[in-house]
Amino acid sequence: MKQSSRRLFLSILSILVVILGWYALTSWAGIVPPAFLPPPQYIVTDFFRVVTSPYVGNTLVGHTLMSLQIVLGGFFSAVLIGIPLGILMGWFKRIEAVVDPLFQLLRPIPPLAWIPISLLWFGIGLKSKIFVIWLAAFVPCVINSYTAIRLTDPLLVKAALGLGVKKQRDLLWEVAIPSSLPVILGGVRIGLGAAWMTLVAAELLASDAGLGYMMQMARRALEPSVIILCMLIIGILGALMARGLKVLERRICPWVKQEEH
Amino acid sequence: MSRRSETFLNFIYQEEIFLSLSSILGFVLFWHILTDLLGIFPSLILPSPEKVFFTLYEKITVPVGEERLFGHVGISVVRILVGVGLALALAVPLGILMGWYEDLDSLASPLIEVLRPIPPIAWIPLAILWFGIGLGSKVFIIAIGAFFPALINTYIGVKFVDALLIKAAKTLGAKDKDILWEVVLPASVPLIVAGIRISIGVGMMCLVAAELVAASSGLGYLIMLGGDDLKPELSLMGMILIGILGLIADRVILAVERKVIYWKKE
Repeated sequence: MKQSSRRLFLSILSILVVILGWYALTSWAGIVPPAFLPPPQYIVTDFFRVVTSPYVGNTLVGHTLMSLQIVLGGFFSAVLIGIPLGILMGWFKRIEAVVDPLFQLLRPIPPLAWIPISLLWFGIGLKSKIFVIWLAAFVPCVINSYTAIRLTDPLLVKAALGLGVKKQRDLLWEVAIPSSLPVILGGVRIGLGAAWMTLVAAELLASDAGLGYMMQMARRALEPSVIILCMLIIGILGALMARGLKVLERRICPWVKQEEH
Repeated sequence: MSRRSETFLNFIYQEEIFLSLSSILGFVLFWHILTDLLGIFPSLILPSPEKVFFTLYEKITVPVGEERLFGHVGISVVRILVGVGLALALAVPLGILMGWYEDLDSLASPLIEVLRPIPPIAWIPLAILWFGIGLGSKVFIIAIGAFFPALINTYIGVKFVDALLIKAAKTLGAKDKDILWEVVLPASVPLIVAGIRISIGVGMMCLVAAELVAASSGLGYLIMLGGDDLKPELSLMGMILIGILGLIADRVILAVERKVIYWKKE
Protein backbone atom coordinates (compact mmCIF):
# COMPACT_ATOMS: atom_id res chain seq x y z
CA MET A 1 0.00 0.00 0.00
CA LYS A 2 2.78 2.37 0.98
CA GLN A 3 4.74 1.45 -2.12
CA SER A 4 1.83 2.25 -4.43
CA SER A 5 1.16 5.65 -2.88
CA ARG A 6 4.85 6.49 -3.25
CA ARG A 7 4.56 5.49 -6.87
CA LEU A 8 1.52 7.70 -7.40
CA PHE A 9 3.28 10.61 -5.74
CA LEU A 10 6.37 10.24 -7.93
CA SER A 11 4.26 9.90 -11.09
CA ILE A 12 2.34 13.09 -10.43
CA LEU A 13 5.54 14.82 -9.41
CA SER A 14 7.30 13.96 -12.67
CA ILE A 15 4.43 15.16 -14.87
CA LEU A 16 4.19 18.39 -12.85
CA VAL A 17 7.94 19.00 -13.04
CA VAL A 18 7.98 18.51 -16.79
CA ILE A 19 5.07 20.87 -17.40
CA LEU A 20 6.50 23.45 -15.01
CA GLY A 21 9.93 23.13 -16.60
CA TRP A 22 8.38 23.52 -20.03
CA TYR A 23 6.51 26.62 -18.85
CA ALA A 24 9.60 28.05 -17.16
CA LEU A 25 11.85 27.59 -20.19
CA THR A 26 9.42 28.98 -22.73
CA SER A 27 7.19 31.51 -21.05
CA TRP A 28 8.80 32.60 -17.83
CA ALA A 29 12.53 32.69 -18.60
CA GLY A 30 11.98 32.89 -22.36
CA ILE A 31 15.11 30.86 -23.15
CA VAL A 32 13.33 28.80 -25.81
CA PRO A 33 11.54 30.97 -28.41
CA PRO A 34 7.84 30.12 -28.96
CA ALA A 35 8.45 29.55 -32.67
CA PHE A 36 10.60 26.58 -31.61
CA LEU A 37 8.64 25.27 -28.65
CA PRO A 38 5.50 27.15 -27.65
CA PRO A 39 4.60 27.41 -23.96
CA PRO A 40 2.01 24.86 -22.78
CA GLN A 41 -0.76 27.41 -22.34
CA TYR A 42 -0.60 28.28 -26.07
CA ILE A 43 -1.73 24.76 -26.84
CA VAL A 44 -4.78 25.14 -24.60
CA THR A 45 -5.77 28.47 -26.15
CA ASP A 46 -5.17 27.06 -29.65
CA PHE A 47 -7.42 24.16 -28.79
CA PHE A 48 -10.33 26.49 -27.99
CA ARG A 49 -9.55 28.59 -31.07
CA VAL A 50 -9.66 25.72 -33.57
CA VAL A 51 -12.55 23.91 -31.91
CA THR A 52 -14.89 26.84 -32.50
CA SER A 53 -13.56 28.47 -35.67
CA PRO A 54 -12.29 26.68 -38.78
CA TYR A 55 -8.55 26.17 -39.34
CA VAL A 56 -7.47 25.45 -42.93
CA GLY A 57 -11.01 24.77 -44.09
CA ASN A 58 -12.47 22.87 -41.19
CA THR A 59 -12.83 23.00 -37.45
CA LEU A 60 -10.78 20.62 -35.35
CA VAL A 61 -13.82 18.39 -34.99
CA GLY A 62 -14.32 18.30 -38.75
CA HIS A 63 -10.69 17.35 -39.42
CA THR A 64 -10.82 14.69 -36.72
CA LEU A 65 -14.01 13.15 -38.11
CA MET A 66 -12.45 13.14 -41.58
CA SER A 67 -9.42 11.23 -40.32
CA LEU A 68 -11.51 8.79 -38.30
CA GLN A 69 -13.79 8.06 -41.21
CA ILE A 70 -10.88 7.11 -43.46
CA VAL A 71 -9.04 5.06 -40.89
CA LEU A 72 -12.14 3.13 -39.83
CA GLY A 73 -13.18 2.50 -43.44
CA GLY A 74 -9.79 1.08 -44.38
CA PHE A 75 -9.42 -0.80 -41.13
CA PHE A 76 -12.81 -2.54 -41.13
CA SER A 77 -12.55 -3.60 -44.75
CA ALA A 78 -9.09 -5.00 -44.01
CA VAL A 79 -10.42 -6.98 -41.04
CA LEU A 80 -13.39 -8.28 -43.02
CA ILE A 81 -11.24 -9.51 -45.89
CA GLY A 82 -8.01 -10.29 -44.04
CA ILE A 83 -9.26 -12.62 -41.31
CA PRO A 84 -11.23 -14.97 -43.59
CA LEU A 85 -8.36 -15.05 -46.07
CA GLY A 86 -5.88 -15.81 -43.31
CA ILE A 87 -8.09 -18.58 -41.94
CA LEU A 88 -8.47 -20.12 -45.39
CA MET A 89 -4.71 -19.92 -45.93
CA GLY A 90 -4.07 -21.62 -42.62
CA TRP A 91 -6.64 -24.37 -43.21
CA PHE A 92 -6.25 -25.23 -46.90
CA LYS A 93 -2.74 -26.11 -48.02
CA ARG A 94 -3.42 -25.20 -51.66
CA ILE A 95 -4.58 -21.70 -50.94
CA GLU A 96 -1.55 -21.27 -48.74
CA ALA A 97 0.79 -22.44 -51.51
CA VAL A 98 -0.62 -19.85 -53.90
CA VAL A 99 -1.03 -16.85 -51.62
CA ASP A 100 1.78 -17.18 -49.09
CA PRO A 101 4.76 -16.46 -51.42
CA LEU A 102 3.06 -13.26 -52.58
CA PHE A 103 2.67 -12.23 -48.97
CA GLN A 104 6.29 -12.91 -48.24
CA LEU A 105 7.15 -10.64 -51.16
CA LEU A 106 4.91 -7.79 -50.09
CA ARG A 107 5.44 -8.00 -46.35
CA PRO A 108 8.88 -6.35 -46.07
CA ILE A 109 7.67 -3.26 -47.96
CA PRO A 110 6.34 -0.78 -45.39
CA PRO A 111 2.71 0.12 -46.24
CA LEU A 112 3.72 3.78 -46.26
CA ALA A 113 5.92 3.19 -49.27
CA TRP A 114 2.75 2.48 -51.26
CA ILE A 115 1.46 6.01 -50.82
CA PRO A 116 3.03 7.62 -53.94
CA ILE A 117 1.99 4.81 -56.25
CA SER A 118 -1.48 4.64 -54.75
CA LEU A 119 -1.85 8.38 -55.39
CA LEU A 120 -0.97 7.63 -58.99
CA TRP A 121 -3.53 4.83 -59.13
CA PHE A 122 -6.42 6.40 -57.26
CA GLY A 123 -5.80 10.16 -57.18
CA ILE A 124 -5.62 12.41 -54.11
CA GLY A 125 -9.12 11.66 -52.83
CA LEU A 126 -10.44 9.19 -50.29
CA LYS A 127 -9.76 6.11 -52.37
CA SER A 128 -5.97 6.28 -52.37
CA LYS A 129 -5.86 6.77 -48.61
CA ILE A 130 -8.32 3.99 -47.91
CA PHE A 131 -6.28 1.67 -50.13
CA VAL A 132 -3.03 2.33 -48.27
CA ILE A 133 -4.70 2.02 -44.86
CA TRP A 134 -6.44 -1.12 -45.96
CA LEU A 135 -3.07 -2.54 -46.95
CA ALA A 136 -1.47 -1.53 -43.66
CA ALA A 137 -4.17 -3.25 -41.59
CA PHE A 138 -4.71 -6.17 -43.97
CA VAL A 139 -1.24 -7.70 -43.76
CA PRO A 140 -1.11 -8.20 -39.96
CA CYS A 141 -4.71 -9.50 -39.95
CA VAL A 142 -3.89 -12.13 -42.56
CA ILE A 143 -0.55 -13.12 -41.09
CA ASN A 144 -1.84 -13.54 -37.55
CA SER A 145 -4.94 -15.49 -38.54
CA TYR A 146 -2.91 -17.67 -40.86
CA THR A 147 -0.22 -18.45 -38.30
CA ALA A 148 -2.72 -19.05 -35.50
CA ILE A 149 -4.76 -21.53 -37.52
CA ARG A 150 -1.68 -23.34 -38.75
CA LEU A 151 -0.27 -23.64 -35.27
CA THR A 152 -3.48 -24.97 -33.74
CA ASP A 153 -2.46 -27.20 -30.87
CA PRO A 154 -2.44 -30.77 -32.30
CA LEU A 155 -3.51 -32.02 -28.88
CA LEU A 156 -6.79 -30.12 -29.22
CA VAL A 157 -7.35 -31.58 -32.66
CA LYS A 158 -6.60 -35.09 -31.39
CA ALA A 159 -8.92 -34.61 -28.45
CA ALA A 160 -11.72 -33.44 -30.75
CA LEU A 161 -11.16 -36.40 -33.07
CA GLY A 162 -11.15 -38.70 -30.08
CA LEU A 163 -14.41 -37.22 -28.88
CA GLY A 164 -15.98 -38.13 -32.21
CA VAL A 165 -15.77 -34.99 -34.34
CA LYS A 166 -16.00 -36.30 -37.89
CA LYS A 167 -16.31 -33.37 -40.24
CA GLN A 168 -13.41 -31.13 -41.21
CA ARG A 169 -15.80 -28.19 -41.00
CA ASP A 170 -16.61 -28.84 -37.38
CA LEU A 171 -12.92 -29.15 -36.62
CA LEU A 172 -12.32 -25.74 -38.17
CA TRP A 173 -15.28 -23.97 -36.57
CA GLU A 174 -15.28 -25.63 -33.18
CA VAL A 175 -11.58 -26.17 -32.54
CA ALA A 176 -9.20 -24.27 -34.79
CA ILE A 177 -10.95 -20.90 -34.95
CA PRO A 178 -11.84 -20.55 -31.25
CA SER A 179 -8.36 -21.56 -30.16
CA SER A 180 -6.81 -19.06 -32.59
CA LEU A 181 -8.99 -16.13 -31.59
CA PRO A 182 -6.53 -14.46 -29.20
CA VAL A 183 -3.76 -14.41 -31.81
CA ILE A 184 -6.19 -13.25 -34.53
CA LEU A 185 -7.33 -10.39 -32.33
CA GLY A 186 -3.69 -9.56 -31.66
CA GLY A 187 -3.29 -9.14 -35.42
CA VAL A 188 -6.33 -6.88 -35.51
CA ARG A 189 -4.74 -4.71 -32.84
CA ILE A 190 -1.44 -4.48 -34.70
CA GLY A 191 -3.43 -3.65 -37.83
CA LEU A 192 -5.24 -0.80 -36.13
CA GLY A 193 -1.98 0.72 -34.95
CA ALA A 194 -0.46 0.41 -38.43
CA ALA A 195 -3.58 1.90 -40.01
CA TRP A 196 -3.52 4.92 -37.74
CA MET A 197 0.17 5.54 -38.41
CA THR A 198 -0.27 5.17 -42.15
CA LEU A 199 -3.22 7.54 -42.16
CA VAL A 200 -1.11 10.25 -40.58
CA ALA A 201 1.59 9.72 -43.20
CA ALA A 202 -0.92 9.77 -46.06
CA GLU A 203 -2.48 12.98 -44.77
CA LEU A 204 0.90 14.61 -44.36
CA LEU A 205 1.75 13.80 -47.97
CA ALA A 206 -1.38 14.52 -49.92
CA SER A 207 -4.66 15.61 -48.47
CA ASP A 208 -7.03 18.52 -48.17
CA ALA A 209 -8.46 17.65 -44.76
CA GLY A 210 -7.72 15.63 -41.67
CA LEU A 211 -5.39 15.88 -38.70
CA GLY A 212 -2.24 15.15 -40.70
CA TYR A 213 -3.14 17.85 -43.20
CA MET A 214 -3.80 20.27 -40.38
CA MET A 215 -0.33 19.58 -38.95
CA GLN A 216 1.32 20.06 -42.30
CA MET A 217 -0.44 23.40 -42.79
CA ALA A 218 0.49 24.47 -39.27
CA ARG A 219 4.11 23.68 -40.07
CA ARG A 220 3.96 25.90 -43.14
CA ALA A 221 2.34 28.66 -41.09
CA LEU A 222 5.03 28.19 -38.42
CA GLU A 223 2.52 27.43 -35.68
CA PRO A 224 4.12 24.67 -33.61
CA SER A 225 1.40 24.95 -30.98
CA VAL A 226 -1.18 23.67 -33.49
CA ILE A 227 1.20 20.87 -34.51
CA ILE A 228 1.60 19.77 -30.90
CA LEU A 229 -2.16 19.98 -30.35
CA CYS A 230 -2.73 17.68 -33.34
CA MET A 231 -0.05 15.28 -32.11
CA LEU A 232 -1.77 15.06 -28.74
CA ILE A 233 -5.15 14.41 -30.35
CA ILE A 234 -3.66 11.75 -32.65
CA GLY A 235 -2.04 10.11 -29.62
CA ILE A 236 -5.22 10.22 -27.53
CA LEU A 237 -7.41 8.84 -30.32
CA GLY A 238 -4.91 6.07 -31.06
CA ALA A 239 -4.77 5.12 -27.39
CA LEU A 240 -8.57 5.18 -27.12
CA MET A 241 -9.02 2.93 -30.13
CA ALA A 242 -6.43 0.49 -28.80
CA ARG A 243 -8.17 0.51 -25.42
CA GLY A 244 -11.53 -0.14 -27.11
CA LEU A 245 -10.11 -3.16 -28.90
CA LYS A 246 -8.65 -4.45 -25.62
CA VAL A 247 -12.10 -4.28 -24.03
CA LEU A 248 -13.59 -6.08 -27.01
CA GLU A 249 -10.87 -8.71 -26.79
CA ARG A 250 -11.68 -9.37 -23.16
CA ARG A 251 -15.34 -9.77 -24.14
CA ILE A 252 -14.67 -12.14 -27.02
CA CYS A 253 -12.13 -14.36 -25.33
CA PRO A 254 -12.51 -13.98 -21.58
CA TRP A 255 -10.44 -17.09 -20.94
CA VAL A 256 -7.19 -15.41 -21.97
CA LYS A 257 -5.19 -13.95 -19.15
CA GLN A 258 -4.62 -10.30 -19.99
CA GLU A 259 -1.13 -8.92 -19.72
CA GLU A 260 -0.64 -5.54 -18.20
CA HIS A 261 1.71 -4.27 -20.88
CA MET B 1 23.52 -30.40 -32.86
CA SER B 2 24.57 -33.58 -34.59
CA ARG B 3 25.97 -33.64 -38.08
CA ARG B 4 23.03 -35.56 -39.44
CA SER B 5 20.41 -33.07 -38.32
CA GLU B 6 22.57 -30.28 -39.69
CA THR B 7 22.54 -31.71 -43.19
CA PHE B 8 18.84 -32.28 -42.84
CA LEU B 9 18.38 -28.59 -41.99
CA ASN B 10 20.45 -27.65 -45.02
CA PHE B 11 18.20 -29.74 -47.18
CA ILE B 12 15.03 -28.10 -45.86
CA TYR B 13 16.61 -24.74 -46.25
CA GLN B 14 17.44 -25.36 -49.87
CA GLU B 15 14.03 -26.69 -50.67
CA GLU B 16 12.55 -23.58 -49.10
CA ILE B 17 14.79 -21.41 -51.25
CA PHE B 18 13.77 -23.36 -54.31
CA LEU B 19 10.06 -23.01 -53.53
CA SER B 20 10.21 -19.31 -52.86
CA LEU B 21 12.35 -18.67 -55.91
CA SER B 22 9.90 -20.47 -58.18
CA SER B 23 6.92 -18.62 -56.71
CA ILE B 24 8.67 -15.28 -57.15
CA LEU B 25 9.41 -16.20 -60.76
CA GLY B 26 5.76 -17.12 -61.24
CA PHE B 27 4.71 -13.79 -59.80
CA VAL B 28 7.04 -11.85 -62.11
CA LEU B 29 5.81 -13.85 -65.09
CA PHE B 30 2.19 -13.08 -64.20
CA TRP B 31 3.06 -9.41 -63.84
CA HIS B 32 4.78 -9.48 -67.23
CA ILE B 33 1.74 -11.08 -68.86
CA LEU B 34 -0.62 -8.51 -67.37
CA THR B 35 1.46 -5.53 -68.47
CA ASP B 36 3.64 -6.14 -71.49
CA LEU B 37 2.04 -9.13 -73.13
CA LEU B 38 -1.66 -8.37 -72.78
CA GLY B 39 -1.39 -4.68 -71.97
CA ILE B 40 -4.24 -4.81 -69.44
CA PHE B 41 -2.43 -2.19 -67.35
CA PRO B 42 -0.85 0.75 -69.19
CA SER B 43 2.75 1.38 -68.19
CA LEU B 44 1.78 4.69 -66.59
CA ILE B 45 -0.25 2.72 -64.05
CA LEU B 46 1.75 -0.45 -63.70
CA PRO B 47 5.02 -0.68 -65.61
CA SER B 48 6.26 -4.10 -66.66
CA PRO B 49 8.77 -5.93 -64.46
CA GLU B 50 11.49 -5.63 -67.07
CA LYS B 51 10.97 -1.89 -67.14
CA VAL B 52 11.44 -1.77 -63.37
CA PHE B 53 14.53 -3.93 -63.67
CA PHE B 54 15.91 -1.79 -66.47
CA THR B 55 15.32 1.35 -64.39
CA LEU B 56 17.27 -0.27 -61.59
CA TYR B 57 20.10 -1.08 -63.95
CA GLU B 58 20.08 2.39 -65.47
CA LYS B 59 20.05 4.27 -62.16
CA ILE B 60 23.23 2.53 -61.04
CA THR B 61 25.11 4.76 -63.45
CA VAL B 62 22.69 7.61 -64.19
CA PRO B 63 22.22 9.92 -61.21
CA VAL B 64 18.75 10.87 -59.90
CA GLY B 65 18.93 14.28 -58.29
CA GLU B 66 22.36 14.57 -56.77
CA GLU B 67 23.14 10.90 -56.30
CA ARG B 68 23.35 7.64 -58.17
CA LEU B 69 21.36 4.67 -56.96
CA PHE B 70 23.92 3.40 -54.48
CA GLY B 71 24.37 6.92 -53.18
CA HIS B 72 20.64 7.03 -52.32
CA VAL B 73 20.78 3.58 -50.75
CA GLY B 74 23.86 4.58 -48.77
CA ILE B 75 22.21 7.75 -47.48
CA SER B 76 19.15 5.79 -46.34
CA VAL B 77 21.35 3.22 -44.62
CA VAL B 78 23.35 5.91 -42.81
CA ARG B 79 20.15 7.60 -41.62
CA ILE B 80 18.70 4.40 -40.28
CA LEU B 81 21.94 3.32 -38.59
CA VAL B 82 22.43 6.67 -36.87
CA GLY B 83 18.76 6.94 -35.87
CA VAL B 84 18.37 3.41 -34.54
CA GLY B 85 21.83 3.52 -32.95
CA LEU B 86 20.96 6.70 -31.09
CA ALA B 87 17.63 5.25 -29.96
CA LEU B 88 19.24 2.05 -28.68
CA ALA B 89 22.02 3.93 -26.89
CA LEU B 90 19.34 5.79 -24.91
CA ALA B 91 16.58 3.21 -24.66
CA VAL B 92 18.46 0.12 -23.50
CA PRO B 93 20.26 1.74 -20.52
CA LEU B 94 17.11 3.64 -19.55
CA GLY B 95 15.04 0.47 -19.79
CA ILE B 96 17.52 -1.40 -17.58
CA LEU B 97 17.54 1.38 -15.00
CA MET B 98 13.75 1.66 -15.02
CA GLY B 99 13.36 -2.06 -14.61
CA TRP B 100 15.85 -2.14 -11.76
CA TYR B 101 15.07 1.03 -9.77
CA GLU B 102 11.46 1.27 -8.66
CA ASP B 103 11.55 5.05 -8.09
CA LEU B 104 12.98 5.82 -11.50
CA ASP B 105 10.24 3.65 -12.96
CA SER B 106 7.59 5.71 -11.14
CA LEU B 107 9.15 8.93 -12.40
CA ALA B 108 9.65 7.98 -16.04
CA SER B 109 6.64 5.75 -16.72
CA PRO B 110 3.94 8.45 -16.82
CA LEU B 111 5.95 10.56 -19.28
CA ILE B 112 6.52 7.54 -21.49
CA GLU B 113 2.85 6.59 -21.37
CA VAL B 114 1.96 10.10 -22.55
CA LEU B 115 4.42 10.10 -25.44
CA ARG B 116 4.18 6.49 -26.57
CA PRO B 117 0.73 6.55 -28.24
CA ILE B 118 1.80 9.36 -30.58
CA PRO B 119 2.85 7.64 -33.80
CA PRO B 120 6.46 8.57 -34.66
CA ILE B 121 5.26 9.81 -38.03
CA ALA B 122 3.18 12.48 -36.34
CA TRP B 123 6.48 13.99 -35.17
CA ILE B 124 7.54 14.76 -38.74
CA PRO B 125 6.15 18.32 -39.00
CA LEU B 126 7.65 19.32 -35.67
CA ALA B 127 10.94 17.64 -36.56
CA ILE B 128 11.14 19.59 -39.81
CA LEU B 129 10.39 22.80 -37.95
CA TRP B 130 13.11 22.03 -35.40
CA PHE B 131 15.85 20.46 -37.51
CA GLY B 132 15.13 21.45 -41.10
CA ILE B 133 15.00 18.84 -43.83
CA GLY B 134 18.56 17.55 -43.46
CA LEU B 135 19.93 14.53 -41.65
CA GLY B 136 18.82 15.87 -38.26
CA SER B 137 15.07 15.61 -38.75
CA LYS B 138 15.27 12.12 -40.25
CA VAL B 139 17.50 10.82 -37.48
CA PHE B 140 15.17 12.37 -34.91
CA ILE B 141 12.06 10.68 -36.33
CA ILE B 142 13.76 7.31 -36.75
CA ALA B 143 15.13 7.57 -33.21
CA ILE B 144 11.68 8.36 -31.78
CA GLY B 145 10.16 5.40 -33.60
CA ALA B 146 12.92 2.99 -32.59
CA PHE B 147 13.14 4.25 -29.00
CA PHE B 148 9.89 2.91 -27.55
CA PRO B 149 9.96 -0.77 -28.60
CA ALA B 150 13.55 -1.13 -27.38
CA LEU B 151 12.75 0.67 -24.13
CA ILE B 152 9.59 -1.28 -23.35
CA ASN B 153 11.12 -4.66 -24.14
CA THR B 154 14.24 -3.96 -22.08
CA TYR B 155 12.13 -2.71 -19.21
CA ILE B 156 9.86 -5.75 -19.23
CA GLY B 157 12.84 -8.06 -19.63
CA VAL B 158 14.59 -6.63 -16.57
CA LYS B 159 11.53 -6.06 -14.43
CA PHE B 160 9.95 -9.48 -14.88
CA VAL B 161 13.02 -11.66 -14.58
CA ASP B 162 12.19 -15.03 -13.06
CA ALA B 163 12.07 -14.35 -9.29
CA LEU B 164 13.44 -17.82 -8.68
CA LEU B 165 16.71 -16.92 -10.38
CA ILE B 166 17.11 -13.88 -8.14
CA LYS B 167 16.31 -15.86 -5.03
CA ALA B 168 18.79 -18.55 -6.03
CA ALA B 169 21.50 -15.93 -6.58
CA LYS B 170 20.74 -14.34 -3.19
CA THR B 171 20.95 -17.69 -1.46
CA LEU B 172 24.31 -18.21 -3.09
CA GLY B 173 25.44 -14.91 -1.57
CA ALA B 174 25.33 -12.54 -4.55
CA LYS B 175 25.26 -8.79 -3.95
CA ASP B 176 22.69 -6.51 -5.64
CA LYS B 177 25.18 -5.34 -8.24
CA ASP B 178 26.18 -8.88 -9.06
CA ILE B 179 22.56 -9.92 -9.37
CA LEU B 180 21.95 -7.16 -11.91
CA TRP B 181 25.01 -7.95 -14.01
CA GLU B 182 25.23 -11.70 -13.65
CA VAL B 183 21.61 -12.76 -13.40
CA VAL B 184 19.11 -10.14 -14.52
CA LEU B 185 20.86 -8.80 -17.60
CA PRO B 186 21.75 -12.16 -19.15
CA ALA B 187 18.23 -13.41 -18.45
CA SER B 188 16.66 -10.43 -20.20
CA VAL B 189 18.88 -10.49 -23.29
CA PRO B 190 16.34 -12.43 -25.42
CA LEU B 191 13.65 -9.81 -24.83
CA ILE B 192 16.10 -6.96 -25.38
CA VAL B 193 17.18 -8.41 -28.72
CA ALA B 194 13.54 -8.96 -29.71
CA GLY B 195 12.91 -5.29 -28.90
CA ILE B 196 15.85 -4.24 -31.05
CA ARG B 197 14.41 -6.24 -33.91
CA ILE B 198 11.08 -4.43 -33.62
CA SER B 199 12.95 -1.13 -33.33
CA ILE B 200 14.72 -1.69 -36.62
CA GLY B 201 11.41 -2.49 -38.33
CA VAL B 202 9.74 0.64 -37.00
CA GLY B 203 12.86 2.61 -37.83
CA MET B 204 12.64 1.50 -41.48
CA MET B 205 9.05 2.64 -41.62
CA CYS B 206 9.92 6.02 -40.13
CA LEU B 207 12.80 6.38 -42.56
CA VAL B 208 10.48 5.88 -45.52
CA ALA B 209 7.91 8.29 -44.11
CA ALA B 210 10.48 10.98 -43.37
CA GLU B 211 12.03 10.65 -46.80
CA LEU B 212 8.64 10.72 -48.49
CA VAL B 213 7.57 13.91 -46.75
CA ALA B 214 10.73 15.96 -47.04
CA ALA B 215 14.01 14.85 -48.55
CA SER B 216 16.13 15.30 -51.62
CA SER B 217 17.91 11.97 -51.36
CA GLY B 218 17.37 8.44 -50.12
CA LEU B 219 15.10 5.59 -51.19
CA GLY B 220 11.93 7.26 -49.90
CA TYR B 221 12.75 10.28 -52.02
CA LEU B 222 13.05 8.05 -55.11
CA ILE B 223 9.65 6.48 -54.32
CA MET B 224 8.07 9.92 -53.97
CA LEU B 225 9.78 11.25 -57.08
CA GLY B 226 8.44 8.34 -59.10
CA GLY B 227 4.91 9.34 -58.10
CA ASP B 228 5.46 13.04 -58.74
CA ASP B 229 7.14 12.56 -62.13
CA LEU B 230 4.63 9.92 -63.26
CA LYS B 231 7.36 7.29 -63.33
CA PRO B 232 5.85 4.43 -61.34
CA GLU B 233 8.81 2.22 -62.31
CA LEU B 234 11.02 4.43 -60.14
CA SER B 235 8.60 4.07 -57.20
CA LEU B 236 8.39 0.31 -57.61
CA MET B 237 12.16 0.06 -57.80
CA GLY B 238 12.48 2.02 -54.57
CA MET B 239 9.81 -0.09 -52.87
CA ILE B 240 11.57 -3.30 -53.86
CA LEU B 241 14.90 -1.98 -52.61
CA ILE B 242 13.35 -0.90 -49.30
CA GLY B 243 11.85 -4.36 -48.95
CA ILE B 244 15.22 -5.99 -49.63
CA LEU B 245 16.93 -3.65 -47.18
CA GLY B 246 14.36 -4.55 -44.53
CA LEU B 247 14.87 -8.26 -45.14
CA ILE B 248 18.65 -7.94 -44.88
CA ALA B 249 18.36 -5.98 -41.64
CA ASP B 250 16.04 -8.60 -40.20
CA ARG B 251 18.32 -11.46 -41.22
CA VAL B 252 21.33 -9.75 -39.67
CA ILE B 253 19.59 -9.21 -36.35
CA LEU B 254 18.36 -12.81 -36.35
CA ALA B 255 21.91 -14.03 -36.91
CA VAL B 256 23.14 -11.81 -34.09
CA GLU B 257 20.34 -13.12 -31.89
CA ARG B 258 21.38 -16.69 -32.51
CA LYS B 259 25.00 -15.83 -31.66
CA VAL B 260 24.20 -13.90 -28.50
CA ILE B 261 21.55 -16.22 -27.13
CA TYR B 262 23.36 -19.40 -27.94
CA TRP B 263 21.70 -21.17 -24.99
CA LYS B 264 18.18 -20.70 -26.33
CA LYS B 265 17.04 -23.60 -28.45
CA GLU B 266 14.97 -22.96 -31.54
